[in-house]
Amino acid sequence: MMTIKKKLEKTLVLLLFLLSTFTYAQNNSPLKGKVTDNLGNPIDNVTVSVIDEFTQASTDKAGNFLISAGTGKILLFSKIGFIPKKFEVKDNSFIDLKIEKQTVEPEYQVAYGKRSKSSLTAAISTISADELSKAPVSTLGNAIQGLSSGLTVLRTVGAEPGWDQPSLYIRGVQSFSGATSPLVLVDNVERDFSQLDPEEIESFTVLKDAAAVSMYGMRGANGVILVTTKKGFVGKPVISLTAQYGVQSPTRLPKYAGSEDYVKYHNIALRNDYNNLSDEEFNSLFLSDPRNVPSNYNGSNPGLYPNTDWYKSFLNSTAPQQSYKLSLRGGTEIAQYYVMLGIVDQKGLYKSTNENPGTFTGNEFSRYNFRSTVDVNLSKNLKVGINLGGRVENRHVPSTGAGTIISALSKLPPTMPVFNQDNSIAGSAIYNYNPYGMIAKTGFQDRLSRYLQGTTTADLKLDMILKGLSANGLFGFDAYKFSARSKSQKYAVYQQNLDGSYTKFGEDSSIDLGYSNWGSDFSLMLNYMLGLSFDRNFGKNEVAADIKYMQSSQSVDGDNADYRNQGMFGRTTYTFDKRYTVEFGFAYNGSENFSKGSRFGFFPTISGAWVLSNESFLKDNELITYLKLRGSYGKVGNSNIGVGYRFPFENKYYSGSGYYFGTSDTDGSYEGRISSPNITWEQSLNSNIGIELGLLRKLEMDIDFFNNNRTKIITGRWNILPSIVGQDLPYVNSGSVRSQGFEISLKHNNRLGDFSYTVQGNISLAKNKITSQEEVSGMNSWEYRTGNPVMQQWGLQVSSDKFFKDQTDIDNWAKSTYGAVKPGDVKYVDQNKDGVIDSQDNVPLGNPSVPEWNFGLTLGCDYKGFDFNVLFTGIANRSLFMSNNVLWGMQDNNKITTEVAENSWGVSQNPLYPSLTTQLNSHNYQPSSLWIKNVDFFRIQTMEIGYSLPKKMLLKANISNIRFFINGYNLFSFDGLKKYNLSAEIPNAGVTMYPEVRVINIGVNLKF
Amino acid sequence: MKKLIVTLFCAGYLFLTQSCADYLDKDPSLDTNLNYQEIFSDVHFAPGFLNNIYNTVPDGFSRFGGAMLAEACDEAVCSNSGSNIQLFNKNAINATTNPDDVWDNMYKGIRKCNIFLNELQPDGIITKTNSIPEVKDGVRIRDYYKGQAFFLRALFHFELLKRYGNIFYVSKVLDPFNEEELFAVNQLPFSQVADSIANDCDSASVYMPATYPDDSYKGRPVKMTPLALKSRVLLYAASPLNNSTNDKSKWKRAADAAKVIIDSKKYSLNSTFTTTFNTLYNPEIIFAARAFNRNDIEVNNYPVSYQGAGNMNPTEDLVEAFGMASKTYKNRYQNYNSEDPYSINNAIKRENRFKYTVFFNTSKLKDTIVSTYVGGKDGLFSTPTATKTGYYMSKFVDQTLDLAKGNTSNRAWIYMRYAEILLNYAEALNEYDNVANFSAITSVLNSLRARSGLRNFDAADNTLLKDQNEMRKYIKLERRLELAFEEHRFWDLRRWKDAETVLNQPVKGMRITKDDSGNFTYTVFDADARTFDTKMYWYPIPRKEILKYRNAGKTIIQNPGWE
Repeated sequence: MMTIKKKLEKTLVLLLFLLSTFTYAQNNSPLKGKVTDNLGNPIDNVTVSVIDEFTQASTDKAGNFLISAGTGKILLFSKIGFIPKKFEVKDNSFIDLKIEKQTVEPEYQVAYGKRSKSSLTAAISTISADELSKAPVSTLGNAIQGLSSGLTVLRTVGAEPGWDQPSLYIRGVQSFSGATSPLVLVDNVERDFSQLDPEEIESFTVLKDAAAVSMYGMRGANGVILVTTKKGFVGKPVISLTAQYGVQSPTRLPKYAGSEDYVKYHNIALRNDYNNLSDEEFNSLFLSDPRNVPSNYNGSNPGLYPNTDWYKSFLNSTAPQQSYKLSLRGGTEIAQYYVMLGIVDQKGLYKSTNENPGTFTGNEFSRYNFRSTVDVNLSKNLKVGINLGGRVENRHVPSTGAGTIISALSKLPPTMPVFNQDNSIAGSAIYNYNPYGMIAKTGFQDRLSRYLQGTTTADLKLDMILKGLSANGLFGFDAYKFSARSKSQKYAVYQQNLDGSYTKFGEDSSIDLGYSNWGSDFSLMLNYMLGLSFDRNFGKNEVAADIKYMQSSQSVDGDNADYRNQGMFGRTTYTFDKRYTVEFGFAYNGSENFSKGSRFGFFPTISGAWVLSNESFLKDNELITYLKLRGSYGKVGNSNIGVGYRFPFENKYYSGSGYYFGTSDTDGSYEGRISSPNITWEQSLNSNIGIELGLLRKLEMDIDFFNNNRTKIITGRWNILPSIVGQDLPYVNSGSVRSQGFEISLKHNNRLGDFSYTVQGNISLAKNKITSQEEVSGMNSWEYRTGNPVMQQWGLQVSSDKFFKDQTDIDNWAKSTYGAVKPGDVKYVDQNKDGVIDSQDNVPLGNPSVPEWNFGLTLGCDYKGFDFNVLFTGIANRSLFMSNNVLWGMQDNNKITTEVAENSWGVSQNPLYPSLTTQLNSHNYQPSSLWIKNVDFFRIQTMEIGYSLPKKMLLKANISNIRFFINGYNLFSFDGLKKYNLSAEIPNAGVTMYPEVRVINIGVNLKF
Repeated sequence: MKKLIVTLFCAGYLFLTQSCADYLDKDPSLDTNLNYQEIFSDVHFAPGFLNNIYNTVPDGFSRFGGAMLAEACDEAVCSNSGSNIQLFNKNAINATTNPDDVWDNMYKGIRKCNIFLNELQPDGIITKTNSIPEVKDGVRIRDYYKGQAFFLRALFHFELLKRYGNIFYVSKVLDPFNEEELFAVNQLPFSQVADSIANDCDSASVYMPATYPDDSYKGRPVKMTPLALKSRVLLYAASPLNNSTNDKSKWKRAADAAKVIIDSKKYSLNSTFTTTFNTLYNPEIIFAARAFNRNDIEVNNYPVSYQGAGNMNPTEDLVEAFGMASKTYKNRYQNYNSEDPYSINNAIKRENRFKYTVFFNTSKLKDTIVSTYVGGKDGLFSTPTATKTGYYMSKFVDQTLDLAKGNTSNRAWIYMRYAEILLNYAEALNEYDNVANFSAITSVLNSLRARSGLRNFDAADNTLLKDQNEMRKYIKLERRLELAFEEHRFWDLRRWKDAETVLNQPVKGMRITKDDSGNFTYTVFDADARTFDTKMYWYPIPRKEILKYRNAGKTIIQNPGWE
């Protein structure tokens, strides 16, 4: 054993030697050495560089290195987590060097700066770049689900490539009128992050409490997400190349009954619809038609009696996606750089055809990202950074939208063919459309978006004036150009009649020769920021202070005023002995939304932290290795108040809407909503208490409790003032919402020999309640919004016997205002007992539509080159109305699932669904307790298995790392909607929206 | 050092408060928003403000989705069982749910009128800036605009009055920030509102020219238009629902108001019945809401095999009311054969207006035959929205439109036409003094008969109609036939207090079956239920409004039966 190892070592050393001489063919004689820690354990991957030269080397697993350096040169030994050490080369002898572990605390990104763990007073959570890359999705928002406590990521649309942005909420929904989504900044400039490549992101920080968002003042009340892109570092250049290929496949698609069953149930539905006909009349009117005889669909004559699976006919079971990224990162003491290029190409699920040669009839999303970041120390005191990023996004789709296409798949009966026997496109008077026509024969759209984003920063040390003082500036520009072009076409469908003739619906046209350009948008955003920072330690006293001024403008295409922001903000932090920290933050900023003179607000925050584990009574405690208490209280605001238009303080008059006199239209003008001169921002008083705990040096735990009082929410005078005013009434800031909750996050790392593992988990609860809103007295108790959560849903309560037994039952019950009622229809409770079922009978039902609980759990381990990682996510306390064809079966000429058909009134002894009907039935399908379902889920969100080739195999090729991986996204969900084959998160996916997909992806990453 | 910080801070502060203090102001060069001053001082926008108000005039084709008000009384059944018009028929209206609630919308129109009238005052912006000149091309144009605003304000109040009875007459622009003034506007009883409307009509008339200044003004009201509205308002005010003591002077006022229009000779009956509805401007139209490139009437009402929804299904009750084209009124049912109700084989047809009002089995539409027999392409049960009575509406539809090709045409919803004035006049005179005015009454009624291809009353008719009750019956019948589906009968049944009888029995349909040899069998059946609770004589004032007043500690009277 020993000998082999030694031999190997020798070979390695030799290899290294050869390699370094090959790479750095210089006359200097090679130096040998070994790097160990103070216990004598070898340290690998230590960068050894010759100062002022480009020569570099790194240590192997045994800590050995070889480098060429002449006498008098200085070697720099550096590795993250260790204190860098210099060594002056005196002679050729073996260098035995010890480096020490850095006891520096971890640092966290906060608003416009960094804070060490002990001086951090705010509630934040972070997601590392590494975690982001485990989800093979193009839209970044979908990759952060479950990774951060206090952050709700909710997908509400299907996975149509390029159109699958989720909704984000920090600590839930806190306003019933204003915007509720967080402010997002990329490199300190307000920008969207969702189409960035995970490769270009260094860190992702969620700012939650008042202390964390205080510098955003009027814009921070919904929380803030900070995205920081990668920068270069001092060290040997690292080239990284990743190639991935994956397949997307729909997770759950509705399973509708085949033709034979469909016709059987359709006949039952018709019988219900025509219950005033005698059997004889019914038979002669309907059942005499051979198309209404189920047994004809036994497969013996598929030409006349088809059994079409519309989903299979138009959706591929898999669609490919691929991505490639190349990055180069490195630098010297003087300049550091990071360059990245990423390409994503994602095909959609539609089956494409050769209908129009030269035109892809499917859907596709492609994206090209680049980033180029350079930081240069121009002098000892001046550091300048230029960060240029950009992307091109191309979306190619059929002219018919995904919602329309998928709805058609979900509606068309199996008894209709895709093509008639004469190969014409099939249709009928009721279904005068066909997905074939929609996908292949309505033309296509190309939507092209281009972004160029630049951020230039400068940092000037002003130690000569005051030690620790520096000035800094930022200039950002974002240019966005959007254009859309399309070609369109019309198609007709033909109904094959019993006598063999055809009836035509619609008109055919050939595809347009030229493109029509129908969309164009350009905007330029300019950001300026200037500031002073002070950071200095006086013995045990640490002081950090910032003050900044910012302004930004974003142009709007056309004759419209720019969107503008302006403000001043600052922060002072004082820490004593790494035990006590107190921080004061403020923002004084304004919004164009409010009238002059009352457009600026002052938003102060105070926070503090006490590191108990640095106190003598806990120091060196083996059980409690870290303990910190922190608290914050402050005022923040939300200037996006939800009015829906700009400048609500002005009176609004519009031109247009004249009237036709004589033989022509005349000029028109009219008054808009009455202005609200005193309108102001939403204000939120937020408090937070946090505990940070470390146990046995292996377990870290953060617990936060918050209580936010959002007030001055705009609410309507229209609930209070009579309508005889005759105009939309002005807004007033009189609503309020209280939000409360907590977050716990846990992290445990351990190494057992070659095996190491990580467990990370988070759980968050955010509840809210409307505490005031303009509501009149005298309403029924269940009608008040006040006292309910913001996203509470209302609907009718279904009585305990659910459905009307017979006509007498109907006659003796309250009358419905929602349409005709027959036996077997839903029986609603008449809450106010006025004999009428109407909107006054709506009561709060189920849970809010945004979940109150969020969970995430990551398990990871690695063993001898293998690594494994799995992320479970979940939500709870969310309800949704199941308002689609899958549960509403058959009505309005829809299809039906056997689950619904078999359990419907008149079919089942114990019916769960109303009687079958082919007609539009608005009575049964009101939002009601019958349709609201709990949509909690627990899901395997991502899973990844990787294998890195042993380093020694790679040395020859000058490759530092090759890792193969396979990962998956959206793999498996445990929830209550499985029996309907609907997604619990997006129940309309695959029914009225593009389907939800699962992705399986393989890839390789090479590092040089 | 300290000085530097202070200086920098001060500089920053100054930057923010001084030079940059206006940074958040809108760039005036990019400000495209219009304000009050700009609107009323502009030669296009100032008159445009009035033009826009016309959009609030109700259009009876489009007020209930695909349904029409006629389907809420005994004129027709709506084939769409889920339509909200059905709430009337099953007595499911309440203060929260009323498909015909126009409260908010009419007050919006009224506000616009008041704003416009304010700016026409001597100190108003229009007057001061001369954005609408006092005289243009020899017409007192500013007065004309003022007259129109008065007229529209009267019309909107009338729309509220006939529905809710006790309403708020709003004649000034209300400021939501002045709650005291807002809540001080008083609810008035029916008679006072009717008087205010009549006054506004008079004011309007004074300011208006007798004829259109030129053709570009066509469609705007002229001097007689508001007076025609006044005739209707006064007729309603004299009717049994609002005149419990049968005060004859009210009928006199109504008759006089109608006579003014007749005497003016500005209007006449259009030569044919059908073209009255299919041409935008004709001598019979007094006032109409116009819509362009429309085919909603056909989309909603064409028989189902013509790609229409077949919504409006006239009742057998209405069909039966059309007499045969007989010599006399008295003998109008003489040649009726229940085995051949549409005179397919019979030489003597029903009166002309029948086929221009109703599509029946064997009616011709676009070179094909409407087949409403059971099993026919438009027949009962052929599709979910196929006719429920055996009939479709032929009045108003433009038979030249092909829906498959998306054809459209320009049509008007006639709000007031001359025939109504004649009927108003006859009714009011008959109620005021039927003996003294007998010849005046028969003369106007005969003019309507003549247009319908019916002969004048003969001696037997005259003998019969000398009786006030018989004459009243005739006038009610004539209103029903002449004004079918035009949103008259729904209100007429109410003002006559006939609704509680007429609308408390099922409406009938005609079920036609075809035997193997092609012969039709006709069976009258109950097509749909009708229920009418006496509280439905007045709509409930919307509950949200009642709650607002009570919340503010103010009194508001809800209509009887709705508390």
